[in-house]
Amino acid sequence: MAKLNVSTRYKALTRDLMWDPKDVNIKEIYPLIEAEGIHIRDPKRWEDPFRMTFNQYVKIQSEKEHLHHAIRGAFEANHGHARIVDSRWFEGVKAFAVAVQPAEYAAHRLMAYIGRNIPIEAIRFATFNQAVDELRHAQIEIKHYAHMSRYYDGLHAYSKTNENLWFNTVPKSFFDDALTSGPFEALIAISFSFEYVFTNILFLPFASSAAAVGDEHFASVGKSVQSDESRHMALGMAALKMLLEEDDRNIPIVQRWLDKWFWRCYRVFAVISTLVDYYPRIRAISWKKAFEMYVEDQVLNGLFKDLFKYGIRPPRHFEDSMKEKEHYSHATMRILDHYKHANYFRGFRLQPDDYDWLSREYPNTFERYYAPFFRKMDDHVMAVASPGLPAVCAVCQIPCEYPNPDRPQESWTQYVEYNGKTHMLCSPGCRDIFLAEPEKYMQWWWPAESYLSGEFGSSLEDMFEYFGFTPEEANEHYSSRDYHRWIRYREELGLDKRFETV
Amino acid sequence: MLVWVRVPSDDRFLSHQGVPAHPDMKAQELLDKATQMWGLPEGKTYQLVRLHATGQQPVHLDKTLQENGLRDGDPIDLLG
Ligand SMILES: [Fe+2]
Ligand SMILES: [Fe+2]
Repeated sequence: MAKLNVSTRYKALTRDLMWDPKDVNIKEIYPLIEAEGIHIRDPKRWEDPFRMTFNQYVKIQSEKEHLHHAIRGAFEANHGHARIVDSRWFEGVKAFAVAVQPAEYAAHRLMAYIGRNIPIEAIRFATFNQAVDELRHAQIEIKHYAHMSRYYDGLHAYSKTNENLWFNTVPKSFFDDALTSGPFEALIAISFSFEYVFTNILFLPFASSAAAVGDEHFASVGKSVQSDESRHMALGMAALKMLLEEDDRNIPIVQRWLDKWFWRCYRVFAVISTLVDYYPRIRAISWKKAFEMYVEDQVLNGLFKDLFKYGIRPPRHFEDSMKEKEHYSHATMRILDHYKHANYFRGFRLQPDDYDWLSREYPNTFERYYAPFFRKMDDHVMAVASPGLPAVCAVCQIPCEYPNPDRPQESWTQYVEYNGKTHMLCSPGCRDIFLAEPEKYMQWWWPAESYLSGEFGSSLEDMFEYFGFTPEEANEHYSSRDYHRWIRYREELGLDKRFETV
Repeated sequence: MLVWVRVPSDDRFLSHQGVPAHPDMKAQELLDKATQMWGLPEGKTYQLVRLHATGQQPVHLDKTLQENGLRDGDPIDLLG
């Protein structure tokens, strides 16, 4: 028998694997395929652009794993944690641990949900691979936290923290929102809006920042994860084109999803802006420049020009995200500093080189609107802590304290009346998401109300017990026991010595 | 009930913060509670303003929260 060429071989292994049911109605097996108003005429002509078979997938992924774990082994054996330039970086790693790792696991379930409910083989293979990828991401991240928790605070009970800490309602609500959407919306939400538009800005600057500060292990986590993203992005693009080309009636529905999920994804990345601009003492790039490069140039000014021919316009409120790039990391860091006494990663007192860098990169905004706030911590690191619990946005769940980028002295908080209640939203972007599906978002739960009513106990200690950590693990980094431990590890290893060369 | 109080003049309170309250309490009591709890400068006159979708509405300090039409979860600004 003649040897099959690549595409026929791929086809033979991946296509026509399903049958048409004879005894039951196909809609009973796939009850959601028509629920969203999407029309698909000929799904068989769509292919996974990566044309990857399972044996190829396993081979490539195992190579990545071997490489990553070799780097991990060296980092662990040689006390890599003591060799980075400044231990405040680990507070950013902790933020990543709470926000991103559970999101990876949620993405794994979401991909399985999409594959289960959309009976198109190309989508099934791609979502199956991605579901396994997301598990891998969750696991290599957990491995890192397990190692780090032998030396530093905050990572020892993170399954409890993931479940209960207020901070984590942000990514949890995001993925719960996607998991309760129909399968096509979930596909556009995650594969296109999240993966195609935003993951580059998540993993590339963060991995470069990790490398810049000398955290070889976390740089490898970032690069290894990102190496799967090109496949995920290709799925996002293929899915978008499929929906747009299959039937014109899909176009307004897809536009609505792009509008919603652009802003949803943009907001869920808020803390990433601080992991780029604040936590690394040596920065690879600013949030502003990374946003211009990865989102403005590549997506908004690049990709969306190509989508114009389908009748698709750039997502609603994209101009707001461009205006906010001058403020985003500073306003978000200010929120983290307000609540650092009740969070499991710490804020830190800005150092002279931080002020220099931030003023240089953000000449229009940092000194004028934000530096005075951060300087208040010079005398007392808790000077700017808020003594209460904040109202959060009913959509993104971030405390409502973003400034209006057109008039930065004013708040951007929006108030909406619905069902006998005033709902608060952090921005016009989140307000419009709320207004499109108020029944969904009015059900949100914000633990502050439960904390204040004493549901988790009467004392602060009870609240920390519920979070899974203790008050000593919170507050400010340079005055914390983690910083002192790190200094001692360095002394042990002789890393504090300066050698003179004559 | 819980109301959400913001103090725009103080950068610790750029977001509304939860304050346990009661419909029968006078608005003045709520104001005193917030100013004392958060250590806002004494000897200043403050006022409360309710924020809602179509604008702002002054809160009368001599009336109860209920008489002021305040509901559970309402956002308020403490101005001074
Ligand atoms: Fe992932
Ligand atoms: Fe929001």
